[in-house]
Amino acid sequence: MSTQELFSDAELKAIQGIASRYEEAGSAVMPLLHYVQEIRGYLGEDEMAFIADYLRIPRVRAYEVATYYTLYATKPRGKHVIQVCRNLSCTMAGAEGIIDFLKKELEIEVGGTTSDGIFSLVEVECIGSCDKAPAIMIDEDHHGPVTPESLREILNTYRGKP
Amino acid sequence: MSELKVLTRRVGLPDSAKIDTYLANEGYVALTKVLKEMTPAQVIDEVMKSNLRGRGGAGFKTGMKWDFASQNKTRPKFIVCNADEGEPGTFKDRVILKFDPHALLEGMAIAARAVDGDHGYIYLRGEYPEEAKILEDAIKEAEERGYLGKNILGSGLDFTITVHRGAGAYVCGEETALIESLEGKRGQSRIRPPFPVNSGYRKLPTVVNNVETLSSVPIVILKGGDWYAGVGTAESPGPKLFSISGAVENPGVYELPMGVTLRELIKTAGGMKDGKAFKAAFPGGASSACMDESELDTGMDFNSLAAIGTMLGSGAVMILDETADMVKAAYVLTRFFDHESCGKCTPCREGLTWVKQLMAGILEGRGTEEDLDLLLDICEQIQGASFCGLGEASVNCVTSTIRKFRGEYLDYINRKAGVRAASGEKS
Repeated sequence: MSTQELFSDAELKAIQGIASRYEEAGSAVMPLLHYVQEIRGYLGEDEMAFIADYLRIPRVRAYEVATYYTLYATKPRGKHVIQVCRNLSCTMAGAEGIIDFLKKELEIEVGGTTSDGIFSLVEVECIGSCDKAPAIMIDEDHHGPVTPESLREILNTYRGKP
Repeated sequence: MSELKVLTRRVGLPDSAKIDTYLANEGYVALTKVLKEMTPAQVIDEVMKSNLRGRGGAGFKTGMKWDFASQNKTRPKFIVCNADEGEPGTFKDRVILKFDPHALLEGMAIAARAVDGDHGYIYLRGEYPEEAKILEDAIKEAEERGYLGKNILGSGLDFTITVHRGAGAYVCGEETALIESLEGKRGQSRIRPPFPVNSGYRKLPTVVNNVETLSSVPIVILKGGDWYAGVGTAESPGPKLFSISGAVENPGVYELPMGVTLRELIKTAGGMKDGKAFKAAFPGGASSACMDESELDTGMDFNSLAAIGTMLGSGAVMILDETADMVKAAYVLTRFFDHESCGKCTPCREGLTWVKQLMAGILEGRGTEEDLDLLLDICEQIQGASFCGLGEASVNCVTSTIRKFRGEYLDYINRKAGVRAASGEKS
């Protein structure tokens, strides 16, 4: 596969810029995976292979990193990813109820994506918003404390977003 | 005890993350002093004198770590800031990263001078994308004004910093796993020794310090090591950021002297939520043993908490009230550790799955009293046989709740769990 098919010139330039921040090529794996996920929504096998080849490291190095860390997705997800914290402070503040509400509201299970492709729902451990429990993240935004009522409104604001 | 305004003194100022605000409020004065008036040895001496201990959880003396690093003459040498605060219950470093990022950059530059550091990395937890942008902007500002980059303030020191985002792995808060991750690998801990100060990032000397630790350095230089050592307790001095969450009226980050009692800390956070009674606290995040009511007057510092069999950790205090279900709490924490075990050491990887299954069995009414002995036995084996501190500490939540709240386990075992749930007494 030629590189042109995978990434545009502007994207290749960004990739080069990120890789050049590190003296050791291997260190650029995580930032590059972050970048590709940001522009593509998830990490496809071809993209991971490209990154590894680009950095001249074994392809398995890119795959193992992508599958080890929870923030990387190797399968397509919804346009907006809802992460619900299920750790102690959030559970004590009602995180289970939040999960149940979202499952019903979005008609999906944890790990699933809505039929319109807008939302994916995942459970995560501590997002560092324990003072705002129960807390969630949608894409890169922290929200909390959330209630079913406030969530309805929050979800609506994302429905219109690109 | 009243709150301190030392580390947090700029928090709340307008545009507090901007360099102009920082410069107008003692910003980069310490670095200027270090570069113009002090030798690297004097900087290390001052930090040693302050008795500043690592705020990430281990409580290791910062001056000593820097001294070891300075003795190793291999170059290049790295200053790595551990900003991966992933311990459940911890969100204190976020306050500095978001509202006072230059304090961290200044602390890192001072560290670089002290140990001959060539490059800095901030390993930032993946869940803080906003803070990544703030830090990158701050680094750019500092470079433009000559506080980072080549020949800083004409001193000959070349030092700049790269922000490196993690991707959601708790174990990367452990310094050797963090280094593996920085090298672009799975975050799995390395056996120590060798310690990172001698063989860290790319097998080169590397100082790994927590955000709060590095951000405390400018104040140590400004006010002197003796002043710093005089705040809090003699063994664990200094102002400390505590993240308080759970059943208090005002969860949040509070700056108090080390050694403040748990009781006072709860009072500072507005007291117990809805006037409920206190039942338990995890004083140092998910990995600490729980405290009960009889321990409310224990000082929150490294030594006092170690003396009662728990730990300060990063100062992540989770408060549970009278309605809390301790078995459920321990299960939630175990589920977390099982999920986050990096898989390197068998006792942690396999043992935690066993612990989780036994705990689930108890919650579902399938437990026996023998399970409690079995749990303690497995926990003991995990504690003695893991590479890193995270594996060692992963079962404190289970052992401490069994010891202190055995009755609640027995309630479940004796199938009283249904009654508890029916009465709405569930956490």
